[in-house]
Amino acid sequence: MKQRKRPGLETMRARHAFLFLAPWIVGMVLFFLFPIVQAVYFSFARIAIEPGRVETSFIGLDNFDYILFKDTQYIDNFLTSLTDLVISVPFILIVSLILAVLLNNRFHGRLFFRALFFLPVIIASGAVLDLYLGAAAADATEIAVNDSVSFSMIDFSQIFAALNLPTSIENYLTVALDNLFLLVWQSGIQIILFLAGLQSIPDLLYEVSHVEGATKWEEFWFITLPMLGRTMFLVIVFTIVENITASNNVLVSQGYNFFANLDYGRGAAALWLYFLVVGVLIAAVLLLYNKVFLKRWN
Amino acid sequence: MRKPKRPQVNLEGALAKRAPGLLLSAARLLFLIIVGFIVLYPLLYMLVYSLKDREALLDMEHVWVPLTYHFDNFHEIWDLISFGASLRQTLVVQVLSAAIEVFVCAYIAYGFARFRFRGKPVFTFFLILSLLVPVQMYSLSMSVNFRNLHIFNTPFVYWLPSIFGVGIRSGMMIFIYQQFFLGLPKELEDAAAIDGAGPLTTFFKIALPSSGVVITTVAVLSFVWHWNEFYLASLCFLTDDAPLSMMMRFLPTRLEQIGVYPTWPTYTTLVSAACLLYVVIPLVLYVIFQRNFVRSIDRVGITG
Repeated sequence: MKQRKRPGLETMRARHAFLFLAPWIVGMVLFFLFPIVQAVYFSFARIAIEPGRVETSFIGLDNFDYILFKDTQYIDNFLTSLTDLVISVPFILIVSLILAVLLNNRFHGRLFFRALFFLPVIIASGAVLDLYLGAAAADATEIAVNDSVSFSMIDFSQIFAALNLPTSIENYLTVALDNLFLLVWQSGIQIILFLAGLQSIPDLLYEVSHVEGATKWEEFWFITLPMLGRTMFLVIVFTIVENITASNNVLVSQGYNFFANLDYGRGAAALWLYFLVVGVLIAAVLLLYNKVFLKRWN
Repeated sequence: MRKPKRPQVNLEGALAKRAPGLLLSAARLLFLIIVGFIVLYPLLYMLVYSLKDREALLDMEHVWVPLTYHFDNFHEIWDLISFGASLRQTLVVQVLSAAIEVFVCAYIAYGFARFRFRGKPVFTFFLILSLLVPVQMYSLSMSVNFRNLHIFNTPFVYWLPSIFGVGIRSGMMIFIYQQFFLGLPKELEDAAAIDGAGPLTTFFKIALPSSGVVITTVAVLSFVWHWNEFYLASLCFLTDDAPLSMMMRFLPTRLEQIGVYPTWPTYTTLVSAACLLYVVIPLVLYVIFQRNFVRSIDRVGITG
């Protein structure tokens, strides 16, 4: 029936898809599905590691029962990391979008600033950050890092005190600045993705709008933002994934602690439950985004 | 002499017209400098501290501009992490794997983006799963799996998954390519197909050449992610042929072995030197290649 409706291209296409997907399907079966299935099974089992092999015994839902009802931290950690997700994703999105739009403009020193904002990508995603923080913390002059993430190297409180600001504003500014450090450091890759998206918008659209007499502000809302729909989608997914799999995420680190104590069953149960809930949340957000924004913009 | 010829009104008018623009670019520059400073700070810190010796470190009056400069820290670190050998290992094992992924992921993503086929939701589900679940979750069964395939403790733990598009973070790279291909105008590819080009020809001759920006982006990300990858390395490699990232990970242990503890003054200078050595290559490469972030869509000549 379908062949009648759409002869030619579409029917050919289904077969061609597997030409492109074949290596991936083989790879998934070989390197991903087997370990993943086993990791899921671990959450229903008690694990004992013997030299050279892994002993497992099926214990049903005991691991889940433990983390949900007997572990005192799990629920708290779960809520903390979800709250963190909801707060930080929009912030990172906005900060990186602003920076990307600024860096996409033509101005003197653009190359320098672009290289500059690449630094977090190298430093914040590897061993260097931990080492650097450790070294700065051990620094004899003690000018460097007061707490682990905020890079608050200048004592802003003194500046604010000198400006005679009201205490409430001063507190808010301090918190905002601390967060700014953190956010900028987490936005490196998002900036790169947004830059790629901005570069993919055809110049033609801007030329037309310029001829029509649109202001820069209107151009941003009616051309740039709608044309960035897919990139935005990509950045949202990426930021969520980064946030929930970061090893400094409270829940993930709790799970890894189980692993470190060779308690693989409970660790697997804790993390699978988390990924399941977050996965459903992501699916809901993306579906909503697709329905509300992408459809309208297209 | 010129002044009388050019009426002042015009000059003022021009200024008034340009003033908001000038103000905006000044604000932009100020904003970028402030945020840029946050980003630059650690690099400056590393640079200054890596050039200090013990005396300079204790000189509290010249913290940011030491009076003397020493390169001994770099010599010491160079030998300690056997920089040459571990860099070679990084290039051969990790960077090669990164390059493979840049290509393979584009190929697979094209299948996801351009074709309709039965069971697509199931495949998409597994794609999302593979980018959601961190390696740590299944490391135990993965290492057993590598042993069964007889590739444990060989570079193939990087290469083989990369060839099949399931390597380090390749799920994310496939996803990035997929979103980009979805945004690419379909008309040119359809035209090629009607003219009798097969799907492979269409992919290599039409889709890839118009994807310069996204290929550059994914290449950068793939490079950095592989450059920084140490989990798989520490799981599957011996310390003898460790790549740079793993050397950096175990640097505190190595330093303790030669008697430099975190409380020791020279710890900061040595670690700063190591961080700088480790960061400088990706940074220089990025500065060289960032010119490739250019519009390539225009070049293909698709209109509306």
